[in-house]
Amino acid sequence: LRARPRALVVDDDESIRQFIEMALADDGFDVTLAEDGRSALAAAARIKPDVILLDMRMPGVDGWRFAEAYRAEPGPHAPILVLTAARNAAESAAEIRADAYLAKPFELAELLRLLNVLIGR
Amino acid sequence: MAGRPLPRRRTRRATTLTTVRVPGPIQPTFLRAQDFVARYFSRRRERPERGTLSISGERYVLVRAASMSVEFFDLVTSLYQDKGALEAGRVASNLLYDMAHAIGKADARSFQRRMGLRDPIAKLSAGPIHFSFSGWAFVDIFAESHPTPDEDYFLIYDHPYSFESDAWVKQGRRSAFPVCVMSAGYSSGWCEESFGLPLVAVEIECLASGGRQCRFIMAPPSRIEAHLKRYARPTSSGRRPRSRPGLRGTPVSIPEFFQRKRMEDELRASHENLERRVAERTAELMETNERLRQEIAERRRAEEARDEFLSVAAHELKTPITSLKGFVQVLLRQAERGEAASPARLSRSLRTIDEQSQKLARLVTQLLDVSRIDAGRLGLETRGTELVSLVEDAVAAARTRSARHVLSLRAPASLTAWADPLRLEQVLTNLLENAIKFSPGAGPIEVRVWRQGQQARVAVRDQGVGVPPDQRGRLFDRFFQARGSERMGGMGLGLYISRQIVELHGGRLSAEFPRGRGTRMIVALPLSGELLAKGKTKRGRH
Repeated sequence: LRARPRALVVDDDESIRQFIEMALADDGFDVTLAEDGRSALAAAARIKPDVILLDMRMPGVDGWRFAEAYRAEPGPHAPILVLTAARNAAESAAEIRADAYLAKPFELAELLRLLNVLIGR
Repeated sequence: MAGRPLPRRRTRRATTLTTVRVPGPIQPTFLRAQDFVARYFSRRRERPERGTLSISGERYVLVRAASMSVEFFDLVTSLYQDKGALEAGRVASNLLYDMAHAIGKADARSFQRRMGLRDPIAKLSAGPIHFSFSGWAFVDIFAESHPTPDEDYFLIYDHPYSFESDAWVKQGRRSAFPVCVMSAGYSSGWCEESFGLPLVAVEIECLASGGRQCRFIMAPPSRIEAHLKRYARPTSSGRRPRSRPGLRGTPVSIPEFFQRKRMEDELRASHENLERRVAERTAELMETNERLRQEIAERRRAEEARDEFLSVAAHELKTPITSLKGFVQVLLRQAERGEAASPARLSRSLRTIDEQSQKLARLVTQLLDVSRIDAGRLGLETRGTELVSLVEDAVAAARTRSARHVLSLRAPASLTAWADPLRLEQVLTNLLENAIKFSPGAGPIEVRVWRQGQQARVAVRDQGVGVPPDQRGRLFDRFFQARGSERMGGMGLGLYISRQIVELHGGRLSAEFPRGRGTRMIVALPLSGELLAKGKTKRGRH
């Protein structure tokens, strides 16, 4: 386990990326941001994240296509936490075999609790 | 009658008509026919040893008259005991009438060929005479007859010495109905063939049923009842035509043949009517079905659109809310830990909160507008609106939003449109925001106001990214966002709402894509009423 676990935050909304970055940094994470699936794939290959926070509805390579491409890469694979504003958050999460999901808007404490569970901290 | 033709040359010609009685004007024709038929019947040859009887080479059959009339009726009556005398009479009449009608038609055809006749009266002429010679009855046609080959055809005549009524009278019997059925059938058949139109004969008075004579009228089926009514009605005046001495005996009876024919016609008509109604109903049902199917499909489409709308709307609303909540919680969490946020973090967070609140407010307004439009409740408060100053204000506001973009305005001193100023400002703001948003390279934005015909026009032209050709058709659709522009924010409702607003004004919002680059949006609005009137006066003077 890294001293500072690495989180990859994938969301097309800039303000959401910003506050998640702040919150996770405060909680001891190294945070990398990606605005869509395509740049997220590149970032994941580069930083080997310990956990991925994934929005589903994004332009270009969306959450579904990201998860598929990410899993096609040689492992190990970081757990994926789906963050979505879609009505069927659980369904979307199940579709991509995510490890956990939170429906937007969510409680920050809940997000941090889930992240710590996922990275086994 | 395909036998030998008679010699055309006549040795002696009769000068008086003895075998038939007809009105004066047609007597010459009947004289010729009498001459012909008399000679025809003079060549009669009986050869019982060979079982034949022939007239001018044509084979005939002799039948006992009573067997075809009163005795036939008796036989049928005994067969139809259970149904009563009237029904039996109807059955017998029916058979005899039909058979005689067929014989009459056949004989008429034969004589027409043999005599080489074309004229309807001439064709008719041999009929009554043949009738007399073959022993059916004498024919007495009245002057009020009107034998024309059309719907006005009308014949009124007596049959003295009718073989049918004779048979009853001879037996001292009285019938409950007229009995000269074969005579009626035969003569109507002959005349039908001669005149080439359907005819029916009705015995209106019969010796066998208490009448003073056997009297008939013949007419097309469509007219017979009218004639019957006329002749059945007792005349009030003292002076009566010969044919109308006042009917005696049983009430007038229409031959069964006619009634059946009429019933068949009615049945067929009603059947056809039924079929038509069934077809109509079926078509109606199918139409209704189709309409229902379409309505269901439309409703489903509308439901799907509404679902999609709600889903997109919810998603779009949740995004700024997530962001607002997130920033607030990050700050709260920090405060709860007893830490002070850095001024940079604080101002950045508060700025984002402010922006996101604004975004949220705008989204809610747009959603309200869309739901008003969908419900047809987006009301306008239109009036004469000074367009140029309105555009000037909107451009000035846009300039404050983007220091990078250069906005220019070309407009006349004044132009008044018929518009709701607040809604029009909303449209202009939307167009200017789009122009800025889709000109990331900070290209120039040109705004122009001008009058074209009876319209006031505003164009907003940018040099930005434009819209890919394959997406231009959907530019004004609800939720449309050009590919690659999603990151620009918004829900894809701006242009949809703007177009609806402009169209509610009776105007038009359209997009052009100049060959260079970027987009040119054009708002066309009706001029205000005064301007329109002026324009008209001006044109009128020219």
